[in-house]
Amino acid sequence: MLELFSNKKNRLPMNSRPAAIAVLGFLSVMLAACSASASNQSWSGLTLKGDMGYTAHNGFVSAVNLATGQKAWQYPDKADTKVLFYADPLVDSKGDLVAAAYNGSVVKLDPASGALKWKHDGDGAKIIAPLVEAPNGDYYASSDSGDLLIIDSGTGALKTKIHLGKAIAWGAMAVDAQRVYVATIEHKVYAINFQSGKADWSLDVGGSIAGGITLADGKLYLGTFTGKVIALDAQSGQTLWDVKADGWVWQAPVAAGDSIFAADLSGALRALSPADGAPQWNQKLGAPVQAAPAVDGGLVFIGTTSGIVRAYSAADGTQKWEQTLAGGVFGTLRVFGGKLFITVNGSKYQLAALAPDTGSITWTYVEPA
Amino acid sequence: MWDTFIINPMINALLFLYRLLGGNFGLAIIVFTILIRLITYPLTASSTSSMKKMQELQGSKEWKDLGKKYAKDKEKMQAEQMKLLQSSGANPLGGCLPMLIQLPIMIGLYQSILNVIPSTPLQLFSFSQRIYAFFPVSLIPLSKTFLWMNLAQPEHLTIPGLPFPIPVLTILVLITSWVSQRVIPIMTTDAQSAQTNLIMNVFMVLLFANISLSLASGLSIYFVTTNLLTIVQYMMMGRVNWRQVYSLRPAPDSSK
Repeated sequence: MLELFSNKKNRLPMNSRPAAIAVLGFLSVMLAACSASASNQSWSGLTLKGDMGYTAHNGFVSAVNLATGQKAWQYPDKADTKVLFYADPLVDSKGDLVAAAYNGSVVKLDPASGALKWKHDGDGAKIIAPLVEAPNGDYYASSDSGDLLIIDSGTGALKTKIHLGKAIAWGAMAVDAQRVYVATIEHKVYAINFQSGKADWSLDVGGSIAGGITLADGKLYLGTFTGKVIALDAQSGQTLWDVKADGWVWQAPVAAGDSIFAADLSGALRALSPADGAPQWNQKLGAPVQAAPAVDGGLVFIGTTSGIVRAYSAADGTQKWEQTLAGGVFGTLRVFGGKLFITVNGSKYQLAALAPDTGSITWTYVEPA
Repeated sequence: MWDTFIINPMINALLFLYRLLGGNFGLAIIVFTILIRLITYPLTASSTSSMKKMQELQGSKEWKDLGKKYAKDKEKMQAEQMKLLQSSGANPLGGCLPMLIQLPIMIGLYQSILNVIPSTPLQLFSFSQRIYAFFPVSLIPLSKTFLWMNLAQPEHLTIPGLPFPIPVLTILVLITSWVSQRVIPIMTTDAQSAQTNLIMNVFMVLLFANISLSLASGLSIYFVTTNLLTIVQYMMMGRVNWRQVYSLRPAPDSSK
C-alpha cells in the first residue's frame, strides 16, 4: 500500500512539495475517518429516580430535570477522551449515583450536584453492563477480563473478583437475595451466590446474550442472538421453556402482568405467556428492534432502529399510536412519572420524553459534547 | 453502496475464513490479506510495469536533456516532458491508477476488520446488520485471541521481570513499514524530491506505528502482513534496494 506514496519517479513532472502536502493531507483525512469509525460510540445509558434522569454518554454522566428536559449538572466538567460512559448508571439503596466506564473505571457521584465521591480506576478492562448492588451494599461489575468485580460501596476499593473465564455481561445483571445472575455474550448464564462467591449453577444457552437478563417471579428471561426467548428457573437454572423468534433477540424480555414481551432484529414484537411461552399476539414493525419495550397503563411501547415508536395494547397487540424520532431507538424504553423516555442514537438529540397516551414529544435532550 | 459492495462482502469473507480456519481470527486476517493481494496482483503488476517504463524514460538522456534545456522555464519543461511521454507511449497515470483502485480495497479491509471485532454494543449492532444468512450466528462472539493478543485491543506483551509492557506488534509494524517503503527502488533526479520522499517515508512509518499503538491489534496484524507481502513481492521481482533500508539519507539516484 505504501509504495503508492513512496515512488517519486511515478509522479507527473511537477514541483514535488505541493504533491507531498496533498498526499499528507489526504492521509490525515483518511486517518481521521478511520479513527472515527474505530472510536467507541453507543446510545446513552439512562436511569430515572425522583425528579431526575441520569444519563451516561461519551465522556459524561449528566443529570436531567425530568419535568423540563434541562441539564442540572454534568460530570466531569471536561471529558477525558479515554473515559467513555454508556452503561445505565446505578442509583444505589442509599441514593448515590454510580457509573461505570468502558476503560474499567467506576465513579460514585452525589446525585444532587454530580460531585465526585470516589473513583475506582480499574485495570483497563472494559465494563459494558450496568453495575448492580448486592444486598450487603457491594457493587458487582462484569469486566472484560472475564471477572466479576466486587467493589466496596464506601471506598470504591476492589474487595475481590470472581473469575468467569472469558465471559462478560454486555447487558443488565439481575439480583435477588441469594444471587447475582449474569448473562454473558459468550452464551453462558451464571448464578453467583453472594455467600460462597461461587456459581450455584451455570448454563450454556447456545447463543450470545447481549441485552442482559430479567428476573420476575422466580423466573429468569433472556433472549439470544440465535433467535430464542428462554425462561429459566432462577433457583435451579433449569430451562422452563424456549420459543423461537424470527431474528436475533437483543434485549432481555420484559415481564409485565400476564405477559412476557420480547422484540427481535427482524422487527417482530411478541407477547408470550410466562407459564409456557405460548404466543399471545405478534406484531411486525418493519425495521429491526434492538430496544427493550416498556409496559405501562395497559400499553406496550417499542421503537425501531429506524426511529419509529409505537404503542400497542398489551392485551391484544392493537396499535394505538405511532411517532417518528430523529434517530434510531436503542436501549430500554421506560415509563416514569407520566412520561415515556427513549434513548435515541442520533445527532439531533439523544433522549426524548413523550406523552404515553398520544406519543407527542414533550422535550428532547442533547447530551453534552 | 460502499457498504453493500465493499465492506459487507469483505466482512462475510472474513467470517467464512474464520469458520474455515477453526475459529482463529488472527489467521483469518492473515489469509484474507494474502488473498486480497493475490486478487489485486494484476493491478499491482500493471502498476509496477508502468512505473518501470516511466523510470526508464525519466532516466533517459532525452529526459535529462529537457531538464537542462528548460531549467529556467518550468512550464515549458513540463510541456516538453509531456510530449515526450506521449510520443513514447508511457502513461504517467499508468502507475498511479491501478494503485488508486487498490486504495478503496485497503480501506475496506481496514473497516471490515474493525467491524468484525466490535467492542461496543452499537458496533455489535452494526455488525449484526452486515452478516449474510449463511454464517452460523452461534459462532458469535468471534474469538478475539491470537497468540498472546486480544485482537480487539491494542497489543502489549508483558514479560515477567520487565516493569513495563512491550508493544511487540507496534515495533513489527514500525520495522516492516520502514523496510517495505525503503526496499522499493527509487530513482530521484533532484535533491528536493529525495528529501521529500524521505520525509514522507518517516511520516508514514510513524503514522502507522501510532495507529498500531492505539487501535485494535487485528489491524496491526493486517499492516504487518501487507508490509511483508510488499517486501516479498519486490524481492521476487529482484528490484529491492536493501541499502536504502539502513540509510536515513535521501535515496541516491540509482539510475546513475
